Amino acid sequence: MKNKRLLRLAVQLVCFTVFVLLLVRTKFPPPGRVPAGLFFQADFYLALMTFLSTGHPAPNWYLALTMGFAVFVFGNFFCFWICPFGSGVDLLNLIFFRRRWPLRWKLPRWCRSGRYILLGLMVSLSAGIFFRLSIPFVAWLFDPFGLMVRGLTLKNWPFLVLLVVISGSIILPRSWCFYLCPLGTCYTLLAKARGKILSKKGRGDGADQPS
Amino acid sequence: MEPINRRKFIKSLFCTVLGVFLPDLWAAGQKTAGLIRPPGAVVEESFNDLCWRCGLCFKVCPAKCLKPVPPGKGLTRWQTPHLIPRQAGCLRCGSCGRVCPSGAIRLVEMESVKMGTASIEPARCLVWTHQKECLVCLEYCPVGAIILDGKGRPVVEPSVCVGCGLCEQHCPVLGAKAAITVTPAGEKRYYLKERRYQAVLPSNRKGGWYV
Repeated sequence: MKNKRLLRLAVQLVCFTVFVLLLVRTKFPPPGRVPAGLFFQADFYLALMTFLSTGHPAPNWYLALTMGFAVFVFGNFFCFWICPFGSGVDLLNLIFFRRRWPLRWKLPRWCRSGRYILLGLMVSLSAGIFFRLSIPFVAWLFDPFGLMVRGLTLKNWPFLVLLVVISGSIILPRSWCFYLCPLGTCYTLLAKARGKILSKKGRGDGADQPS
Repeated sequence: MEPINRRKFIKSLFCTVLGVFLPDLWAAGQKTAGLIRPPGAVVEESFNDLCWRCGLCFKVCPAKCLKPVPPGKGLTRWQTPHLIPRQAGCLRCGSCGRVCPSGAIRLVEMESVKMGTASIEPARCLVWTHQKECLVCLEYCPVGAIILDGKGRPVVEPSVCVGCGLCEQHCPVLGAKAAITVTPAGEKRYYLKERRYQAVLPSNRKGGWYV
């Protein structure tokens, strides 16, 4: 168990470092071989919203699709292993609070459904184009990578937003991830779909029947 | 105070989103709103839907000429990149197109770029009004779009001008407004359906997916 925790921390550290390195390397002249926006292009949520709002696939959409497919097959490993935002939150919590969360509020269970509502709202707004409505593209507001990069590069109110979100997340356990993050919600839904399919199959085969 | 329940929470969330974005829905079909977009930007209506507002273009720009659009210019365009030539002109290096992960800014041939057209306001120009010896705009123009008329006064050749804004940036006339200003008139944009960088056509959007 402890080994698994250490392994997870190491993977998170690597992912976070790669993200920061890519961001630092994004300067003039831009790097040729490693795309600066690798994490953005592997973002299933942004790829989905872009397709819904423009009808055109995002560049390198297969990266996002691969990530979505991997989550569907292996479960939601993204949020607690790969996500640089979540990794940053976990690492900061480790540094400042030694893996203890200062606030352990028991928020009502329906609060967690807020993120499903938010994702549904974003999908509806983006897909409004199907119904010939000119609805502005607002999905970008809640993307965790955008939140991070904007906060670190623009150094204005986006930085304040990032500061609030991160400090909130390191005090109240992963509050952004559990209550708002639409990317995490996408992956959770994919993982849930997998679970449903597996359990149906299991029931059909009689594999999960109590002996 | 009454405790908030799920129904009230959803209602207030819905009303907030509607209240914030409803006034902007009518403005969504507008044209460029006088914004000068980076070289290789896709056609305005798609640009606002494609741009993920990641901020990588701001970070990579060597001239720091790209700035985020303030909310006052329309929430649909909020945080998208635009040029403010009076602060800094575009060097047409293509770095923004190279790093853009969403494809809102495409990498196009820099020889074919046209972001707008400069125009001289004779009432403010030192040469036109005060007969002073000033040819700063002519010296800074990288494409030779500013020529002298028979009386030695600078005039812009619109077919040659690329709208980079270096003339406006270096114009010695004091104040926020220079004697030479760049507008998006005659700009070229990338059309997604045709996959071509061409002069902007009148919008044929009546709802639905963009061309």
